[in-house]
Amino acid sequence: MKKINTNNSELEQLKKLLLESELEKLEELEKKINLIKFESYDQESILNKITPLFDRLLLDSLQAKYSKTTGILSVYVAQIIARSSKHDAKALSESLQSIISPAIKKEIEDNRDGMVDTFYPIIGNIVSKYVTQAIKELMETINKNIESGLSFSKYKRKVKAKISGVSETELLLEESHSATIYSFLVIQKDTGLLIADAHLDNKKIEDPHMVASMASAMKDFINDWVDNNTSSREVQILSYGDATLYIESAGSAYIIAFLNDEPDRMLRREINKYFGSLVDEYASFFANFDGDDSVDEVKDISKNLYTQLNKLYKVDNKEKKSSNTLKYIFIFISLLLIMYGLNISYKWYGKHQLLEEIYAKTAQKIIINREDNYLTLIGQVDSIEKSHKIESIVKNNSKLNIQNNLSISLRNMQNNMNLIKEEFKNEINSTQSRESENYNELKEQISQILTKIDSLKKEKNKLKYILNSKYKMYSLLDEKLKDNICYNSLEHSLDTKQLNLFTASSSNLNSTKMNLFKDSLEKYFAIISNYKEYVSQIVIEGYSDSSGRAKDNMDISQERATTIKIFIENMDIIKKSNMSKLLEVKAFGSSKIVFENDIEDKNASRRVEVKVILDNRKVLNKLKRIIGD
Amino acid sequence: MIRKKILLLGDFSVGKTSLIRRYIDKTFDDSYLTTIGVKISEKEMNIDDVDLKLLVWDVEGATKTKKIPLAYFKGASAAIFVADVSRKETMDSIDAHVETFLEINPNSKYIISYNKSDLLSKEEKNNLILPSNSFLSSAKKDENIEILFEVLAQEIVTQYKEKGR
Repeated sequence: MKKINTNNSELEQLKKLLLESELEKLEELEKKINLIKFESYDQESILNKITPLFDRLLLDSLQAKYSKTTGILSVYVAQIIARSSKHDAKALSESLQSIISPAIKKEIEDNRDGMVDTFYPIIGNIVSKYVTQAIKELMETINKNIESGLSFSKYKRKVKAKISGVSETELLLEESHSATIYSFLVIQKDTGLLIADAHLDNKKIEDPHMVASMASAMKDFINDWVDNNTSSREVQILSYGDATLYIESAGSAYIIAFLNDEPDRMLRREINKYFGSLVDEYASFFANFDGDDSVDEVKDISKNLYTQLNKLYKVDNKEKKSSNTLKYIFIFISLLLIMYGLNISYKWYGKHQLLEEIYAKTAQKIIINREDNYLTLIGQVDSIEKSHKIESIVKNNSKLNIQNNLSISLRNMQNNMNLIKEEFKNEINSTQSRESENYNELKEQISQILTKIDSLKKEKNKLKYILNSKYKMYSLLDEKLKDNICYNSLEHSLDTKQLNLFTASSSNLNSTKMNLFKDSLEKYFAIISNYKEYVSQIVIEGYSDSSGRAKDNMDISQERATTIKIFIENMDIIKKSNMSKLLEVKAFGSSKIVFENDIEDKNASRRVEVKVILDNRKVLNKLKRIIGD
Repeated sequence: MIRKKILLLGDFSVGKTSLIRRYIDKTFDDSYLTTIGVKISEKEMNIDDVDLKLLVWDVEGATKTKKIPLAYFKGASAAIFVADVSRKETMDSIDAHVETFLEINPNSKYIISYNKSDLLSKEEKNNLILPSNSFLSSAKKDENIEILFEVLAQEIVTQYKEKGR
């Protein structure tokens, strides 16, 4: 056989030609082996591969009914939570908050009755505490009435119930709260003016006259609305805050009783009867009352109101002070019933001592229910350990099966509530003490203000005189000069608009016209001189028409005013009354020309005006001095 | 002391409340005006040695949607009617207000205040023709407010004295 001589490269080329596909597969296989080798050493990669498998397995196991996994895990989960709560309770609470709140919400939606049973031991106790208190107060009031039931009042109430058609129970309840009247106002119906009033010593109304008017307006407003909308009955009760106004009309007056509560039927009848007797006696006076409170009738009625107010107040207090014999009998019977109930409970559960033992060893209060062969533990405890401990105590004391439904409280609600309650009490105490201090301070301030008001009232009368003087001066000017062509009644001044006193560009006086103006000036100053102590200035204002240059007009108006000033200075009345020092000149040029039918009246524009300026500062200074005092 | 009810009447927004605010001693809160259409204020005066307390009922101007109870007008000894000189319609309606008032209180006194005079020029003031029992007033500049009340108070006291007391 002939030997074939070949070199290596040729052999390689031959391999490639004959085994190309096998070589490719071999190379691929080598890559896969290397990858597997790499992943078997890389923990992270292994975890990524197997974790989803474990998760799925765990989920399937937890979702399957009767799974052992839940039982096993629950022990560890409980331990984890217990340890975590010891290590960092705050962090655990925060992390569980977002899960627990929706869970509780859902549980309430899905299992309302169960949740009510769970929360009952806490919320039920709180509610029952306040309801018990309220019932206790009501019972105390009813006791008083039962007590009076042994007296004449019982038979009186029975007769009243028969006559009025109102049940005895309703009358009894009505009697259980009584309103107190602390003010009476008698008001004239049309004017709303207060005729007379009376108040308990500590219940005075600051300004009864304004209150009477406002109450009258409100009554009118409501009656008007009622008239327009339904029937023609009058408003009788108005309430605001803690106060109630009871209104009773008769004839031309009505009475308002201010009370601390709505009056019952008996009290209304009492007020109506009393007011009826008052109207019988004073009907004519009420109709003709003209606002004068100095008359004897007003004093008599006020006295009468005080007597009635005090009478009603004393009756009310007397009723409140009645004895309490039957109350004690009722409390005794209640206690017997409670003890009987407790005894029954003890026998029924047979667990009273067990509960005491639980409380002594764990400081936890729980409820134990017995159903067939089961004892169910219900309530909230502070921790899982305490829950287990309670369960073991019960096991030691009973052969029955135990169902532990105890829940763990995440927050110690009861303690927090007690703390808040304590804080609230302290706050109330400190507020009361602060208010008492403020009250005394306020009382002192009021006393100072009242003293100041007295002194102000005295000064006020003096000021009235000053103000009246000003008004009288104006009235006199109007009266004496009303037909005078130079007198301006709006400004209480004199002017020469209608006199043509000056010719164009001149300050010379036309003597005939000036005589007329002189007459006006004499009359004017004769009045002013009597009030000169209130005059600060007598201003003579000069004016020109609009012709010519502004500067020339200003000059000529100055000359005109000065000419008149000199004339006035020389008048006897001015000299005698020493008023020349008050004279002042002002020039206005053509700045205030006079129009007649939209055309300038040049004769009227060329004028002077004489004005008196009253010294308001004197009055103002006087006021400031009084306020400063 | 004698006490009298007086009314402050006029159209909506003529300045009644500003006018009374210039002159009173005590008053209720403005909220009453918007709630029940009236606000009570009080002013004590001494006229000719008579102590007088005016209980001023500032009655809100009626509108198309809000009527004012006529019971407010009853028993008033006097009234101040207020118009806004810059709104002619408020001046025109004064006669109707006066008529209603006198129908209910035929013997009572009244006075008219042409308010907001600060909005008029001097010429406009000069050309204004006012009835005898009226005043140009400005609550803003405190012009003629005192006189307004004093003149009315004077009339009330005179009437009171004429009755023989």
